[in-house]
Amino acid sequence: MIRYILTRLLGLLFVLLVLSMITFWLMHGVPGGPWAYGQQLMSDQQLEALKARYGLDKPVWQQYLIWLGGVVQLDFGMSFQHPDESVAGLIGRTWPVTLHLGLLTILVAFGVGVPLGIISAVKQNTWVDYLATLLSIFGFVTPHFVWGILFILTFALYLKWLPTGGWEGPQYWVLPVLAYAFAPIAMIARYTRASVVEALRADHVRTARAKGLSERSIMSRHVLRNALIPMVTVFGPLIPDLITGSIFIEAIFRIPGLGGYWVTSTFDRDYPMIIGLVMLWAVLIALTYLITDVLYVFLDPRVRIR
Amino acid sequence: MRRSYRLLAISLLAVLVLAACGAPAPAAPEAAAPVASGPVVNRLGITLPEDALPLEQQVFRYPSKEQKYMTWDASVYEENDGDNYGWPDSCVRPDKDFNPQPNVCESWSVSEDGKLWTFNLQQDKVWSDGVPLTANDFVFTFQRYARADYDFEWFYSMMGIKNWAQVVSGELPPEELGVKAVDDHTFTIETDYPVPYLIKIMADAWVVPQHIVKDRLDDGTWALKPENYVSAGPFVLQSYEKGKRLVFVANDKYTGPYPPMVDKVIVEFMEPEVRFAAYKNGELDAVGGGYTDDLPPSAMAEIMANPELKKELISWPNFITYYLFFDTWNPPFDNLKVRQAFSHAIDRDKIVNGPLQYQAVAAYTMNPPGFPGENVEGLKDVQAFDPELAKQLLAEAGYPNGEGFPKLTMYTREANPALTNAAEAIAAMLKENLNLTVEIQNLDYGSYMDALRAQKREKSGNFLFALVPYEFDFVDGSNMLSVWGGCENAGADLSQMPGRHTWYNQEYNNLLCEAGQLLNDEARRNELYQQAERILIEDVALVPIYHGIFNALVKPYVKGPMFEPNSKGQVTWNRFRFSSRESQIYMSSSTRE
Repeated sequence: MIRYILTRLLGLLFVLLVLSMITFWLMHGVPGGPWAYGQQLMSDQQLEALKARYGLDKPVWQQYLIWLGGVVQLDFGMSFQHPDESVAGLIGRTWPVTLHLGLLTILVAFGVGVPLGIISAVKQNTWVDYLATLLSIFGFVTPHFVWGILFILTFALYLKWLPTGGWEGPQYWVLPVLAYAFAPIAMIARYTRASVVEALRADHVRTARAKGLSERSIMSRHVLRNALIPMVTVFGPLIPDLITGSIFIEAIFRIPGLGGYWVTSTFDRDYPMIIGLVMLWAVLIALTYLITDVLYVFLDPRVRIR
Repeated sequence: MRRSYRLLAISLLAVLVLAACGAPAPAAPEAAAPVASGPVVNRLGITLPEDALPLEQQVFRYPSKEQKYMTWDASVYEENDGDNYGWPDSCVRPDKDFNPQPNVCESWSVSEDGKLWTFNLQQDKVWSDGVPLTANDFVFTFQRYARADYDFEWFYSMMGIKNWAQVVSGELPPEELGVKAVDDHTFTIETDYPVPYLIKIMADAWVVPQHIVKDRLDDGTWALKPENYVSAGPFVLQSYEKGKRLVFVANDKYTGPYPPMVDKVIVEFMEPEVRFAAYKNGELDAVGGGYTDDLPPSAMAEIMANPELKKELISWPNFITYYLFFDTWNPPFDNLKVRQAFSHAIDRDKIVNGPLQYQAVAAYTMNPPGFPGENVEGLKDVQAFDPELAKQLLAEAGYPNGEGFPKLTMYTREANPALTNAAEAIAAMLKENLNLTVEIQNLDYGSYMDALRAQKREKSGNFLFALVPYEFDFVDGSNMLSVWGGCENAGADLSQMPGRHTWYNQEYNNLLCEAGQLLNDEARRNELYQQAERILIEDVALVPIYHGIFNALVKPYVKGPMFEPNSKGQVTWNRFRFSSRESQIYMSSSTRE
């Protein structure tokens, strides 16, 4: 098991190396630079001065090696958007806020989505199921920024219960978490329902009923445990997505998190930040899949790692 | 096992209940207004008007976007708000009619030949750390502006300061620059030729603290260190909460003609799309007034339909022109008839009365109404809407009914909703009136400027056609026309000619050059600018589409001299750079009329 995990981690290093090369060449291939353009056309001399200031006057392969040399010493360079902050420092400042939002969202999404899915599976094809399905479809098809704006209109401007945005205390968390959680609730509810319905139809559940086990015991020991396996596959990747934030949610609710940087780094040609974020994302995804694979071992006795 | 499921179920239920309940609502943002007992005196010892709210409520909040730098000398295009009132102070300040008034520079004079300016500073001016502000700070300021990687260097290069280009390129040491300190309170500026509008640019001579910055080539990060929060202006930075806000407090060391009344100014960082809602919810005291789209067409419609909001609205014409430009050095736009056809095919009235209602007036000139040297009346018919004439001109150019005309892309630069609406309307009119297919493509700033630069430098013609704004920097006839030309360097290649676009006219350049050096005769200068603009418009270097109108909402309890009209009877909500705004307001217990 330990060996398996170590091998996977070693493979990740190789993936990161290749990914960083591709990202580096791609981002430097886009026209424009990290400097302010102003209104006037720049003279050649100005352009040279600016390139030198950002260390962009060397060939791309040299810039890459310089970057890689820094990374080996855990130095990911200085952000161009916040010239007094390192990439690691900037992520360290903003990510906790996004994590806070993301974890609350995960809690709400699973807290609502899983029971909703189980209820609609158990009460299959009743009005409860139809209502849950309707809600899920709404959640699926409506982007979270639409929910965000609707919530601001309703709870801030009309009812005056909550502020329109900011990140100062619990009352500021409610609207963004709800808006952000809607789509995952829908997804979790749908997949939970499907998994549970399938598990309910399994032979061993019929057997359990036949031998007179209580309904609660059937649900917990025979249905849910088996339903968890497909759910883990689907829900695993949801988590890195939610804990890295959304530019829409963070912009609409003025949350000083990491979400916006996925986009602004590209617009501002903040090269060190772009590649820093790509690396972060890759590591998170890889770890999620690794953890998912390891979880299978515990959930499904048929899976064994050699 | 069973117990753990029950535990899970209970905790899930708890989460559900929590999510449903939400949390307590925030304190009512618009608190009732208690009247202060006795006069309110701020930390400078200034007594506020009788109706002023208590000092702790003298807080003014407005929205802005978080930027990279803090100060004017670091970057003009990427600095946070507060750059003008919370760090430096300027040599002179424009009044409501944009005429320069004494500020840090108490008085000035210019020599007979117009090439030597002398400025006398206020005697008792100190930085907020107590260090005296001297003429050497101004000398250092100009040395700092004269660096190649400064994004506003081009602006100060228009002052014609002796040895400017050589200092920028590093050929000469900064001490050789034509800005010299005579004594602690006097400095001089020597120019290569007379520059009649130099005093207007001195409104943007934002002094830099030499004792703090030290290195004139500093990359701009000096102002991000809290120990360097010094100011010569009416406010000083108290805190910078990254990603959230800037808090400025009144600078108790400030001496000068624009002392603050409010105690604090808070700049809340937020995206333009959410500002209107935050204003309505009482989280901001003012919104809008810039050309970021705080109040898009949808918000304007709501304001106009709501009598309360309408009372809080301030609208005034901005000196900004949105125009279409062409690559006149390459086909098909090298043909004047094609450009004329375009200029007659666009119905500006339809645009400004439709999607851009309340946000624009129709434009037929580069210089907007009320700008020095403008000739709106004289030129308004040159490019008048006339679809029949447009069709005929296009046919004469060899494209009857648009046949054979290449497929076009109209570029925009980080377009806001209003500009996107205008671009779509123009594309529709070109289709309807000339049967041309135009696709719209929005570019980010970097890609746009790179393409524009390449078009001029390489005369390549890949970037034919775009719709962009130009906003004034100082109120002088030379300013907006300089987009299209200026004094030529004899024998320079076309690609090195002044102006940013691929249009060239020698006569135009000569007129601009002559007017730009003419001292003490504003009437003659403006006459020359009118002649120059006629060439520009008749040759269809551009198709002006609209001049922007600025709209701002300001809560009715904000009062002060800011709301007194200018000589044209207009009340404006211009930013500090053009109005000294943050020094001209206070929070009142009554409402403005």
